[in-house]
Amino acid sequence: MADKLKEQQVFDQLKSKHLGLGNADTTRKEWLDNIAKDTYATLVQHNPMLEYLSIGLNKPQAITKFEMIEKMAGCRVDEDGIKSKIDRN
Amino acid sequence: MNSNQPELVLYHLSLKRPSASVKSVIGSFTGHKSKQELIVALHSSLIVYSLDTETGQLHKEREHELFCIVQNIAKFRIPGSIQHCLIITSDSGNITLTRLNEKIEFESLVNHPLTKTGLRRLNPSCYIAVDPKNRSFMLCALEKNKMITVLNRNSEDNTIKISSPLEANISKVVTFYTCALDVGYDNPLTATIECNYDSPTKKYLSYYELDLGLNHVVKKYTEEIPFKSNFLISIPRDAEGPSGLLLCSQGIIQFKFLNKRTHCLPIPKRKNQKELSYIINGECHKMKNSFFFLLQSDLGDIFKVSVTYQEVQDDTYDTKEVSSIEIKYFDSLPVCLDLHIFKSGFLFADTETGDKYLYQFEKLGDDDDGTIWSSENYPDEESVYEDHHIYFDTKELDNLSLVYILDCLNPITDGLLDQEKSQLVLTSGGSSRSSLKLLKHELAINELASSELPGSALNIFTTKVSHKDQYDKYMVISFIDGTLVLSIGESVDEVSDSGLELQVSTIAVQQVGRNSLAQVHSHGIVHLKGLNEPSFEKSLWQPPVGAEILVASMTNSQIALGLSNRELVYFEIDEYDQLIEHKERKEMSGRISALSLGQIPDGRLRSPFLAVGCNDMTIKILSTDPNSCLEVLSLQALSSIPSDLQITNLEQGAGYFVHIGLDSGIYIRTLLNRISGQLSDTRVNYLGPKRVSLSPVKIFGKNLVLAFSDTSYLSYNSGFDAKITPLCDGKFTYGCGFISEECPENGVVGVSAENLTIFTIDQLDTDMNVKDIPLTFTPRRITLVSEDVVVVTESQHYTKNPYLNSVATEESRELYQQIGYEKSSHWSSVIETVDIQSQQVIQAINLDKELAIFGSTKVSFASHPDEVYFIVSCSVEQELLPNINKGTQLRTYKITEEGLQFLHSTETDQLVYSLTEFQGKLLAGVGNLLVLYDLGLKKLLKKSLTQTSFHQITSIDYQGFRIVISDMKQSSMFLSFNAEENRFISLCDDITQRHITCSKMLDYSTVVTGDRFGTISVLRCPEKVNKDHLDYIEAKSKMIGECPFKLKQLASYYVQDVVTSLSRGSLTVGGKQSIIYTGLQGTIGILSPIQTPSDIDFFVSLEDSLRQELLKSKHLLTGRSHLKYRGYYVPAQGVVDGDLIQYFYQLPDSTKQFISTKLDRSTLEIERKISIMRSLVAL
Repeated sequence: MADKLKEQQVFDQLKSKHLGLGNADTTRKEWLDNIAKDTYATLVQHNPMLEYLSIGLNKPQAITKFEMIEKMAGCRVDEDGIKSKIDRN
Repeated sequence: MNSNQPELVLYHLSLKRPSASVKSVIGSFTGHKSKQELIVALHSSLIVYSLDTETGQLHKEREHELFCIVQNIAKFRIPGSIQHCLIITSDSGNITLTRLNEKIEFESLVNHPLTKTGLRRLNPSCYIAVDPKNRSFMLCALEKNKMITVLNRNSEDNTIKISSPLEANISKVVTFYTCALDVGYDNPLTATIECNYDSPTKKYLSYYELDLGLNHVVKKYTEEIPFKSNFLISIPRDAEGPSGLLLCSQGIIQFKFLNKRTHCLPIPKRKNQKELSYIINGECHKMKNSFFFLLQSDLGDIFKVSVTYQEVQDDTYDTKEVSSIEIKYFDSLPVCLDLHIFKSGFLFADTETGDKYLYQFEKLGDDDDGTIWSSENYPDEESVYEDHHIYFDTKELDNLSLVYILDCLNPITDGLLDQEKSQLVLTSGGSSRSSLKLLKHELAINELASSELPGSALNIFTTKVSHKDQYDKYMVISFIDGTLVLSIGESVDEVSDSGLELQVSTIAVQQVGRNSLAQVHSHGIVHLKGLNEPSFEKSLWQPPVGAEILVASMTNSQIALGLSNRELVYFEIDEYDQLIEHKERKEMSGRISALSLGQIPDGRLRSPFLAVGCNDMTIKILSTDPNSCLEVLSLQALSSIPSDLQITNLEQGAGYFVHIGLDSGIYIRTLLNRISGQLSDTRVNYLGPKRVSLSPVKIFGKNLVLAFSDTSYLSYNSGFDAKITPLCDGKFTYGCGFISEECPENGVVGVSAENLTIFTIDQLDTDMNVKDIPLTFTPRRITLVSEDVVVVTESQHYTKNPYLNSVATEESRELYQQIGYEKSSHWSSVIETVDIQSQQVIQAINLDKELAIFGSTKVSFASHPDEVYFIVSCSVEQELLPNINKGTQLRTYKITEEGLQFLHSTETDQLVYSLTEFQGKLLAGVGNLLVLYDLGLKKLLKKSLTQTSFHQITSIDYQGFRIVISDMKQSSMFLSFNAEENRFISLCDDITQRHITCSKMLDYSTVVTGDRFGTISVLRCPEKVNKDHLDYIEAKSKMIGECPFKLKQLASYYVQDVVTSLSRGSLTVGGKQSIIYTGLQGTIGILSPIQTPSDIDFFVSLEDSLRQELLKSKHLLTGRSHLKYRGYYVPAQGVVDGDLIQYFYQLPDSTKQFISTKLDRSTLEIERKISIMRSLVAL
């Protein structure tokens, strides 16, 4: 039993260091979440891919990059917060 | 074939390196206080430009290929020196510090492993923030990781050491932007915009302080900031400013500095602008005792922001308090990645797409009466959002003036090879600055004058009359039955009293001796003596009776003639300008067909060699030394009769080149040893079907040779390599060098049929000539519909089409190129028909604002054999991310003389990306369906429908009944059309999932594909798959749910760029069939099969040795293994990297020697092989 506990501790420790580490208990949501984050990070960091996106979307690369990182962070506008302020304009 | 021999090995060469920049920096990288250099980091290389402040031109000083993915660069200065150094983060996982040495070469300072390879979300290589006092820098990952490293100067040898990094990792934190604050000599402070996974509705500004005393990092202060904050820029300190930073968010700019008072400003809006702007980049310009910011918005508008501050008597360390900030509209430029202000008053705009610009400051925007918004009127954030009086008018460039354009092909959205004219037709650029580019392998010429001639000219010569003359005086044009002499001056006039024989065809004219002129025609030499005096002496030398002069060559002191009786006559000119014939006439082995004496080397009296070509297909090198005059030194046999010869001197008397033109249209360049007269190192090129004639010219002070066959060529040395490149529009029959007062250098005069043209050749460093035709919107697809006509479909989102009710004019184009189109939620689409011969847009069809174009093709339906049609695939009200639309359609146009004529539109179930003609019908990839359409009266008629296992078909190509389709995610698949059952049967699919963007069939069972991540692969369908097995294949497919056969990968290669088009063919006349690809960022490359097993072995082992040597010699600064770089996603296979091989020339001699010993060949032989391969593959 103690071994099991130790194993779990080592796993948790490794997981906190290496994001995206999984085992048999990894949930589908967690796995998908990691893949999505990795994908956004890749799109942002590989320059040709960012340019490809930005031309397709017809937005400046800086904005495309910003929006992709927002998606990666799962940013969403606080409905009654800042969004409403901007909308008022 | 041997089983361990690969089936296919390709040789890769880049014709154009990518031109999209990742980041750029300016600084004193060469260490001169007054000079500033610009370093642009491209995707895998660094380019150093120096600025010529006199002419306002940027000169490329060095291009350094790194063979890794550069992620970010930043500059820093070693304390105590004025030289800036460079920090590079890359996919190698190393942190690299480098600087330029005196020869403007990069030398490695530090290259330490830091993290995993690749560009991952935890790799701290995404952002670099260097302390303005150069004490430390922070590296930051997208998520979690932050590292601060202290820079230490090694005082002994003035090098730099970096301390082991201090970590400031916080889980679940995503970083948007980082910026180092200027805090003087207090502890280094770095600010970041962050967001936490746990509170995704809030963003924070965090300050990280490096405590230099305790050597650890603390998060000093955090505050919540507006949700759409995206950009930071630091405010200078010391004498210039109060320290702190500007935080830019959507619609608002704020001054922030720890817990000090915040000042707010709105970002002004254009008159018609609906959404609030972002600031996307900016630059701070420091002057003596003052500073200002130029910030650029996402629409391209530049704002000038100034900060006012006052001295505050306080106990705390900071005694300057910001009292207000002000913003003012400055000018509008295209959207940039970076702006850089040179101390000398230039602004470099590193644009995202298209050409990059250098501007000069006319003024600083202080004198006009434009509105100024001050933070004094905005007590808090709320008041900024509530202000509605924030509009300004865009204007033409006022404070800046354009001085220099740096040509860029980036981004290439599509391309095709026009095999007929050996040119590439590319669509390039985004939005209002897009254009159609015609690329041809040729040298650009600058035409100065052109005039008609009375008849068809055979030859043309220019000559001085006295050896002291600086400029040419006469232009002698030889016709079949006469000679025309023109004088060169302010105007070109005919001269009749020159003394030259005008009734005969001239073979050669040359200024000889001091003040004499010699003209050779078939019946003798006309020798005019004393041309500096009013009355000159004319004498005639005649050949023996019955013999004629066939060929001649002259220098200032020598004349050599080839007679029809095989005799070679040799004269020298003495100091009294007398002709003295050599005592003996030498009889040659055949009729003399060509002669050349070359030029007299500096400091010598005569040219030491005479090359003689005879019709027994040999050339001989004869000595002209008085002791061994006309002795044969060496002999070379040729494949055909030499038609012309030319000897040119190499620089610094290193030897000579003998250029040989053959009757068969072949041009040979060979090295002549200056002592022994032996010939070696022969390079052969095929120029065209006509006999080759040669003529010497002086370009940039070098002795080069023009070659004339079907086209005109210039033979020159570029870098380390011999090159022969056609001249643009060069249909000259003959030409020669031309020096006059108006055209002191690089001048050439050429004759073509009945025309005479004077031109200069001004550029030898780029042998790809680009012609530009402006387009309206972002181009999508390009289709060649007839020999000279291409149709370009263009489409872009969020744009209001200004040409729906008006016609594009020159002025409106220029305006929109500067300020961009107005934003709207709609699409702007246009179909433009362009004549590439006259470079004119013939017709522009603007589509409705709901329609977005995705694909197009030309079809000739078997049911309507006399007509050609053009099909465009559109979607209605397309939304991106996620993809939603309100219907899709195929629009059919008839191609007529006048242009396109709309017929009808056909609804489709899903979006169509790929269209092609197939067996007299239209084949469309509708989502995952393959649909065959025939032309109907009111719409296209569905003739066949096949479901595939794909997601979205992006590309279709065919040969015979076999087609290859490619998918957005699932690689390629071979299918065969079963005409009886009227459907497609899938034969063979791939085991690797590739996100294919384009594909091209190479032969019946081979396809080359390019994918979104930058990998080009060649895939082959096994031989056992053939149409006899269709039943078996189908039955088996049904049983196992996929194709029973799998594609075999023959080659795979990472080209670092999104592949946008692939074509098969050759860019040169008589060139080898190759694959030519274009990449989004402006890459053009060529992949060509290596043909013999011995060559394959040689190049593979040479590449391998070079990989090791370059890594060892630290030439690959970041330490990325070349093999891993070329196998970034899929292991590299079956491709030799010619770009790497080219580096062999640049290696030091000892390394060259080492490699050549390893390969058991001589260095010269290796260099020769590389050069031959290059000319075989490409240019």
